[in-house]
Amino acid sequence: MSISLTIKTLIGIEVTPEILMERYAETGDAKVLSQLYDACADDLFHFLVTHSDYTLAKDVAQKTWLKIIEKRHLYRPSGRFKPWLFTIARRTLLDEFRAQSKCVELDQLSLHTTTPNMTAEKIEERFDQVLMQLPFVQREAFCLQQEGFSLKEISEITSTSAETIKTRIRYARKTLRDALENIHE
Amino acid sequence: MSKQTNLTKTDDKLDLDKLYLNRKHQLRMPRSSKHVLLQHARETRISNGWFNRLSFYALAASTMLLVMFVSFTPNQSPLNNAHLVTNVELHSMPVDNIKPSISAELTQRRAQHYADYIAKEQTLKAYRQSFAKIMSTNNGLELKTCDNTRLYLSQTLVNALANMNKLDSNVKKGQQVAIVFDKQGIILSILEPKQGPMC
Repeated sequence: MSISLTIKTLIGIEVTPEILMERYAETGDAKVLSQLYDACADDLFHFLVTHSDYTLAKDVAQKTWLKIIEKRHLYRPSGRFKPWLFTIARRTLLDEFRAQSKCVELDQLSLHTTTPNMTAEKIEERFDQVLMQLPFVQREAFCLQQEGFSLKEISEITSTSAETIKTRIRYARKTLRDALENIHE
Repeated sequence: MSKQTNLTKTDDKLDLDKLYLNRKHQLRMPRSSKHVLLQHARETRISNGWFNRLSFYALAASTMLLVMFVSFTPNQSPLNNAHLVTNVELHSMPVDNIKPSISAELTQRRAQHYADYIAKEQTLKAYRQSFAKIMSTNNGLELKTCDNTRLYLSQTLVNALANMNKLDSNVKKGQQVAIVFDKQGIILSILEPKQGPMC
């Protein structure tokens, strides 16, 4: 690991993923990559597992990180790292979907086509069920918002207009709220 | 993560953010994946390192070869240089190209002379002749033609005609002469008429 990075860590300066990625792009140091992975891997995996199943999510996450390793020289320090990471992951996931079922329309894409099971007693279980039953694009917009991305970043990641993203988030939140309010009643 | 849209603030009773975070804590990336990934990163780095080193050595070796080739080649054989110069001369001034150009120039000049000659012939053929009587020789000549037109010839013209032997030296005041004009009306010569007075 580089000296400047070590000093920053020791004196308590927050080492952002952008700094780590920039350093990794320069040096290719596996230790820096390890730090970067620790900072972002769980967020990415959760996003992927919410849009696919456990095995596919693990596979796509692995492929995404391999792309990061191989294309590290393409990283531009001007932007944020996480939107770049999520953009690559999303494209990889969609490629996997297309490989499995030739042509995929995102609006119709849903991995959970079974009848909604609203018998869960715990609110966490109910949240999980309703979230997974949301349309793909609404779930995607909601998750990216929860990951802290701005509307502009979400629209860039998904290649959709900000207004559309706003609508999708509003619908997703309404569906979740309605479903969870019912459990209280 | 700092930026959140305002939509989250409307949910009072149901904290969707908290529920989402709880869900996230339960679903984490398997630790084994990290080990595999880092291993791959190390291997990539090592192979890239070897590739970079090999590229560097190849570049250095090719540069040295180029420098050697450039520095040794010119001093090898001076005779070759002389031969080269001869070749350049031959290529830059081919013998075959000289003859046609001279020949063409000569033909052109010949044609020009011939054209001039023809033009002169036409000039001489186009003259007209009239007769006049010399009235005075002071400051040139004054000629009175058969139709009583008077022509005044300046001394300069008289001298010029005399120099060209176009003015008969035997002409005298009161004598009849033949005046030869070209087609533009320029006097070519003033001669003593051979056939006697014509007016």
